[in-house]
Amino acid sequence: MSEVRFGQAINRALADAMAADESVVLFGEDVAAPGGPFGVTRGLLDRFGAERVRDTPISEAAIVGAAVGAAMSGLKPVVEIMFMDFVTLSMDALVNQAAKARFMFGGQYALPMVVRLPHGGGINAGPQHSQCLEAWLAHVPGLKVVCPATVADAYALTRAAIADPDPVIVVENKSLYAVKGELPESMPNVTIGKADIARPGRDATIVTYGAMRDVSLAAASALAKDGIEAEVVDLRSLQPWDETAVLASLARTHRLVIAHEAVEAFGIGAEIAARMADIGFDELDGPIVRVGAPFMPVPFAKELEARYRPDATRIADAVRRTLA
Amino acid sequence: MAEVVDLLMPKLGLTMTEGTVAHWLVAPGARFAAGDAVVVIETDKIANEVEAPSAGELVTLLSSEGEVVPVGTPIARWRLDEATAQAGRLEVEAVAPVAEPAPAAQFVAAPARDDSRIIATPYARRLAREGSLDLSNLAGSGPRGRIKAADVLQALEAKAAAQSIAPAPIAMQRAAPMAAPAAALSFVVADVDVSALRALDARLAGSRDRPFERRVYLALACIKALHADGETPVRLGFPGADGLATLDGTARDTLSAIAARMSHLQTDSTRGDVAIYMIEGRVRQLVPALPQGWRMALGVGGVRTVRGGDTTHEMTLALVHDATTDHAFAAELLDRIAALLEEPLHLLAG
Repeated sequence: MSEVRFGQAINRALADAMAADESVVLFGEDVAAPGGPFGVTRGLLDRFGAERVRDTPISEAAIVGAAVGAAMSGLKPVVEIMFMDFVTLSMDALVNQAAKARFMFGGQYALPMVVRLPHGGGINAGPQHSQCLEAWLAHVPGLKVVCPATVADAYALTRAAIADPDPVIVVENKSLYAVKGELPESMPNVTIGKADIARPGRDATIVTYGAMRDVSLAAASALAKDGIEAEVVDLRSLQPWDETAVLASLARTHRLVIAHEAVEAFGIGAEIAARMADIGFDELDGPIVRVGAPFMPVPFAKELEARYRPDATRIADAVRRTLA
Repeated sequence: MAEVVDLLMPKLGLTMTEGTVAHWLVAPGARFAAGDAVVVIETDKIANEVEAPSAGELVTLLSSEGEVVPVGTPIARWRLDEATAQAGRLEVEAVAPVAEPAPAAQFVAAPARDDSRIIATPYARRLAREGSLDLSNLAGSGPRGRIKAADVLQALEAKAAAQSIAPAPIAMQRAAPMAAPAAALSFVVADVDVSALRALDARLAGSRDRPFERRVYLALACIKALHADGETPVRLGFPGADGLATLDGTARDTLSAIAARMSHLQTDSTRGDVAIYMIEGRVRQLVPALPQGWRMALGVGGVRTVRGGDTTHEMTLALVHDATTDHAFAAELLDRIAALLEEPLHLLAG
């Protein structure tokens, strides 16, 4: 057991995967010599050499396009897009090539590639460097999307993503990189698609992921002072997501709140709400309430951004609303 | 090509026997769209627009403006584009009397506002269903009076407590199967979907605020089920202050005639065909004793809300008969009563 930062846990996962499997290669903007825009790939160039850790030109289309080709040719590329906002430039390679290859070639091609996408605000980075666009990717058949919230999951889900035979998007919240946590010496295998009960409770379920896990836990602590026991379910994986675990939690609490940093409209929360309104209908004892960002770009000003991002008060209020 | 059918003078209220063709809104030969008002019908109480159940064409007028015609009389001929199957489905909600076999729809009245809708959470409804609890008498503690699981659980606890204290009333039991109430008697039981009947009753009630009145429909259904010929009189009994009060009728009687007679019941009750006993509330089944001199007794349980794909309302009927009546006959009779209640337009048809 050791205490490391979230970013260091990803670094360790990358290093362990590269040590275990020579076909794992890294490339992206500033991932080699500078050690990554957020320091996540620091030291990997020195350890594994310039053949396996490469800096690329500023072209997200080229980065992901090359990753598709590399994966088709037998490598296991792990690429980084500096900000998730710029996944827009790589969407053809990601959506039309990577996601479709297994299907269109009759299963003859597997694309074991990983795209790391730092998302989220809270670092005063403005409208084009703070977005949470994971719902776009979760909407595409053929892509898997994970979003770790803890140091241990940052390691475990990165390893699981690299080990997966299909394209996996690892969404990393930038505000988490510096968060410290325990990293067990021997990590249990984490399967993509399994949620984690972050806090058990009987009165309401808060389904969340990524940076909103800690915010939801803070909300649950605040609610506990009023005698309300909220259960916090950390999805960990958004596509596929753990419908069974969410339904089981709903069957215990009969109330559901979904909290994410992404814009509320048409988001991950909408999908979860719709499924639970269907398969969990008879369990519901209150409206399903979503907590997300308002329908507008992420503001630059610090004060505005702080109001834009969901906080513990909003999540606690949502729980109280569904309990009314 | 859709066939030309009659547009009949609708029955817009329980007591309406005739109406005035006040104003034609569509000229003969003109086309109309679904939902278009075709004619304004006036009674001494209301003026009502008759809406087209589907697009179509008004072929000929059989009544001119200002003419007073009895309910059920053809007032025009029209051609409806939608097949009669569609129209037939709409008829269930229509108030107009229909002839046999059912022709195209007469009209579809504007949907009444449903004040009876119970606001309850899905989980509360599930708990109520599992505990056979009627939500209609329950007050909700949630926003807008929404019934929550906690409200249902509280009510179920209260119900369980009440049941453990109070002795069960004689011949009143909660659920089948059960023993026959007396050795020489037997009875048959049927569940009846009364959703259409309730909708019809709400239409007939119009704006008047009154509870769902089942007695009149039950009476007419019993009469028609026993003797459809319209000649043979049927005597029904209803429990009153001193024994049974009776009502005589034939299948020719209209609902309004039965309703009028219901308020002046006779007291000679030494013999009769069917004695009708009703209970309200959550008790679903009533198996009455057979009164001396009567052929049969009909026990009518409380109306309950059934949540499924569509919310429906049901009540349970138990027909008690003596040893001289064949149980197959009783079963057939009860089936006919149930069918009439489930498709109440047959009660309106003369």
